[in-house]
Amino acid sequence: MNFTVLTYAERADFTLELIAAASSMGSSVHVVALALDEADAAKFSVGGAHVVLRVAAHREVTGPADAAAVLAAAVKQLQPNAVLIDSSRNGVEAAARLAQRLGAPCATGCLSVAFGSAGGVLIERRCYGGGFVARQALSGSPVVIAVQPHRYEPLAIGKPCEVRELVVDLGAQEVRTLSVRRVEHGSRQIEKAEAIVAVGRGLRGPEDLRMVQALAGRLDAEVAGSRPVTDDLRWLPGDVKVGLSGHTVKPKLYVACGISGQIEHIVGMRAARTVVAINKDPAAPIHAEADYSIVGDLYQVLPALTALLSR
Amino acid sequence: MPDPLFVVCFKMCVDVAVLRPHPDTGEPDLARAPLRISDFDERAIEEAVRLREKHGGRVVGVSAVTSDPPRELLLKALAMGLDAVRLVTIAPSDHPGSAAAALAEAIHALGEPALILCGEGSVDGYNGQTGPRLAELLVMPCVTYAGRIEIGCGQLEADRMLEDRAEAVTCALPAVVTVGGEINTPRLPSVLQLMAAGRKPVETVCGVATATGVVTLDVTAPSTSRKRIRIDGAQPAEAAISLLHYLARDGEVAV
Amino acid sequence: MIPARENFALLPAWTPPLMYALALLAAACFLAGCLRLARRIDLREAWRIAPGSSREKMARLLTYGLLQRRIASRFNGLLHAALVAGFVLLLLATTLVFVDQDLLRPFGRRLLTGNIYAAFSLGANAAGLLVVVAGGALLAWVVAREKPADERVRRNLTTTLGALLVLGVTGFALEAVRLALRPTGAEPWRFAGAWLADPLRGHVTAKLYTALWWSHAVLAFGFIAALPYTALSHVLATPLNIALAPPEPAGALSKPFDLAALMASGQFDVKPGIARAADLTAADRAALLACTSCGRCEEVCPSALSGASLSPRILVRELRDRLNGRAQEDLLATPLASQAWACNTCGGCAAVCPAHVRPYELAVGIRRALLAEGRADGRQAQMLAGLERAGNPYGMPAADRESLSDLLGAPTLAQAGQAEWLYWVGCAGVYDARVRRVVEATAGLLRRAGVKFAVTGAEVACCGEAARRMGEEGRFQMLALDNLVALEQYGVRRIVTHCPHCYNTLRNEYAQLGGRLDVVHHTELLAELAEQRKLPRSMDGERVTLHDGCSLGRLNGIYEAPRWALHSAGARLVEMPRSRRTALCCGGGGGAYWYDVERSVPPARLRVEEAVAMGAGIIATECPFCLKMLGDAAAESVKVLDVAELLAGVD
Repeated sequence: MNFTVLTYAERADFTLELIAAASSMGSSVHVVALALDEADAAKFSVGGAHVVLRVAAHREVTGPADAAAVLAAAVKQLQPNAVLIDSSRNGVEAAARLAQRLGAPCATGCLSVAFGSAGGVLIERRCYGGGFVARQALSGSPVVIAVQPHRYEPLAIGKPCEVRELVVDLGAQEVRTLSVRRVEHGSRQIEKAEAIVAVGRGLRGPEDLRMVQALAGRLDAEVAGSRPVTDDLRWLPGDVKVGLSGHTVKPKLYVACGISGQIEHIVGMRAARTVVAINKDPAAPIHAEADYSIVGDLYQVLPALTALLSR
Repeated sequence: MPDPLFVVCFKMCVDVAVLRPHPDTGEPDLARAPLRISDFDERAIEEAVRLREKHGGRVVGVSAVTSDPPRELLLKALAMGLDAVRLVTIAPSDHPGSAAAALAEAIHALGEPALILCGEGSVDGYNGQTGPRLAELLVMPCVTYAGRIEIGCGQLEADRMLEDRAEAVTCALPAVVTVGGEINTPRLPSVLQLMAAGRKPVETVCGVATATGVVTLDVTAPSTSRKRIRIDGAQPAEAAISLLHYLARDGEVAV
Repeated sequence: MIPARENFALLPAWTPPLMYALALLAAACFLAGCLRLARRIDLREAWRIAPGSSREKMARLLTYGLLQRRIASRFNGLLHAALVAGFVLLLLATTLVFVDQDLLRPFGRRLLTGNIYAAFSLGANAAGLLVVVAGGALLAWVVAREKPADERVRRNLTTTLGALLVLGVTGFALEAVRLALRPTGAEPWRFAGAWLADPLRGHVTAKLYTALWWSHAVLAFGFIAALPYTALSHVLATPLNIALAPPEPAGALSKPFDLAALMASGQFDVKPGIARAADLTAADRAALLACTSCGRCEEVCPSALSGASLSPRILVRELRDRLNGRAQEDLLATPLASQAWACNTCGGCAAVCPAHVRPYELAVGIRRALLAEGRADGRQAQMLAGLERAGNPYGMPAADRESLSDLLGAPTLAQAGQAEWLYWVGCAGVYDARVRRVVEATAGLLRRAGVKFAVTGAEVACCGEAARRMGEEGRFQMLALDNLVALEQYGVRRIVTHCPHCYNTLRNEYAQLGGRLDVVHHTELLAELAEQRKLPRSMDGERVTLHDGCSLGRLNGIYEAPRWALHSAGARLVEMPRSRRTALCCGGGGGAYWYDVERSVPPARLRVEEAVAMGAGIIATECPFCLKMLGDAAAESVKVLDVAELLAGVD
């Protein structure tokens, strides 16, 4: 049986991931990629798609409502078995709206996607705050799947494929963008940080914070501290305290350096997706709260990590 | 906009902070975890109450439920400032569209809302679909992931908090807005306020037949909720290399 | 010649009528002022709600008011006590003159004659001298030594003391002039006046005497008239509050409403707390007016000492300033709203207050008003939400409470049915790995001594101590009522707990809700077991200093049990300068453990430095929160361990 999968993402690099995801769904998948401009179309054409649809509209495609309109037009033309969209915030909205318009089932935040033996689509997604993974079967034609970015490696560059034009009537814009402000790295607050390097009592002095900051810089992370470091020793300001009396953070990556793992710290970081602990005390409770733990001296491990990441 | 009607959709779902895998099955031990009002939905309630404090009108909460919700949660929603709550009972479904359909039906019956608010996603499923689906069902503009809302002269202005940028957007009312974590800090009603909220009206109606097409096969915790992989015994440099290897595999760092 | 008191001697004939007129006027002013004061307090109500019998009130008035027991505990307070003693004697003397002149003389009888007059002369001279010397010394102290809390206090102190001094000096001056003009024969008894009179003889006139007499009289009547309206009103208000309020901080906070009664009535429209000065109770008002801004509270307050925004003295004064005219002003819109969160409810302020004021109750009152409006900061809200959803401040699963039963090898309350002792492990004991080690140590000691006990499982939730101190009275009472039902259901008789906060609340605060629980702290039980030689000797002369936890020490007066337990285990105890009643709070009390108080230095840090300065290698704690706070702040040179851990020989 031949499956057609349509892919769409705002960002070209995500579309390339989605093409890879679509290709991995089964042995005979016909991958159609939507491109918003010529440059993207060229990339997707060599990125593993079988057909690239270059969107032609009377105005720029912006925002999830437009994305849903474009996708609806493409679905009408192609009748795909599945639509893959990137699970970014705009992608999720576009996916949900498309699904509602088509009367289709939809899953967002998917970690993996594949065709099942019975014809439906099988996905895995995190649920219950990230601590669990659900496997779901979606049936319908099409099904709409929003795939988590960075889950699939783009395919190796191949032969160019056919590029067609898809004419879309976008209709009036309901939500107008007035201005766009880039979220600056420096002003990012710790609660919104994607990565955090936190230090605790294992640090010997405030001058050693530089070592921590170096690693944080490499990981594009914020530096945070546990209560002893912020309140008692005051090596870090109180607004970067993680824990019961400080911030509750939910970064994707949390690196706890020299933190023993007292409960009041744990409650502030337990929502982190991946936790790394570096502590020389093998009995420190933090090791039980970590995905990966290194029983070792942070004064040796941190510089080693920083050096590796600089390469 | 004389006496605008604000509608807040809220979900009562399991408190994921205290949810543990069942020691035998690895499945979420739902029976031992209490329910709560979904985190983002509490913020939606708070925002709606603040809008009412500023613009007057009424705030009605709407929630799709599969069984009788705990009374203390309804009291909490009301004590936070809702004027009334309308519950729609639906059959349990894994389809994220079924709640949206029931909510849309209930909102239709309420009249003509100026604004419909909900959380950007629920703490249990975090599908993020209810708001956009509602907008499609009610044929209204949709603004998702709002970190700030202002209304006036039939218009809505909001900041959409996206991954790498904040977009200031505007649209006509009525509209559906989903709110994110940045928008406010929800108030915490005191026990006295909770008890006093018992006088406010709660109405229950039956919802429509639900959508099909999504079946959850299983839900498991990956062995423990933390992987607890020890990297020890090695030299610091070796340990660092294997750590980065693991992190790259998980997609947490790009190497 | 028998010496007798000559009234109005050497004075013009118009003196008595004018003096009586003035006296009446002054008395009228004084009475009006007293009435005003009584109205501002609502004295009748304050008297009605004050704890203790009239006899106890009088005993307090005598000990702490008249005898100045607490005020006199330091040098300037001693001067104050001397001043008061002088004035009381002079008041007595004036009363005698009144009896002699106005009650007896019309009937041709005399009192102040012969030996009585001699004694009177001696007493009055001594009292006058006391006033002048003590007043002068106090004034000198204020000017030279003391740093009065602020300019307002300094001004009040210097003007009042200055005027008093003038009053005393004119008194002696006019006596000296009178004795110089007309000796009475009582000179040996009027030693000070006579000594001054000698050099004056022949240099003074009756006119000068009249002038001096009148300036003294006008000043004295002025004092009486102004007394209720000025800083001197503390002469009335402070003894009154001393009679009304017990001197020690109370373990139980006041109960602003009864949740069970509200639930029965279905009316929840009560507004607890202090949102405006108008919300202050009569007892609060009596306390506010009794405050003299002496600043002793500031010297011991962990918030004031650690650079937090709160000063108990300023808190009291800000509220007091609003009693008149600004009673409806919204306090929650003032800095008081954030300052109230800095209080640790440690009771340190109340333990030193010479006027028996309890500033921490006022801070809790403001918190109650804030919470009634749902105004809790993110962290406070998070903690309270944890209590609401999971019955513990950590927001961790309630079911985890069951886990300790296995760890300790003891049945839970539900499994045991009835046990000799219930070990109430508290929330930190369940959810905090560090405190769990204390629980294990305690349980191990009990088992070793053959004590049969059950542990609390999921039958009970948080005791509600922190919720109450954070101002969420409703949550406290809700938790308390549920816990009381559970304890009743399982027929619990005796409770032991390692947590002074649980101890205080279960023992003193549950009683306000009908609970009758027999609660002991683990150090009390351990001391008893040590006495019976059922515990090992785990130490060998290590220098240990005990940090008295506020909830156990100051609020419940338990100081010796932990010391005895440590001593019997072989520790060599050293005392920090601030110990027992004057122990410094670790900064975790009053719910502050659960949120952030902005300070320049944490109190725990100050405390650790104090212990290190004593050369102690170990700080023993008796409270899980002190243990955590001090443990976080301790340098590596000092260990922080619970008494039970030390007794169990944990390193």
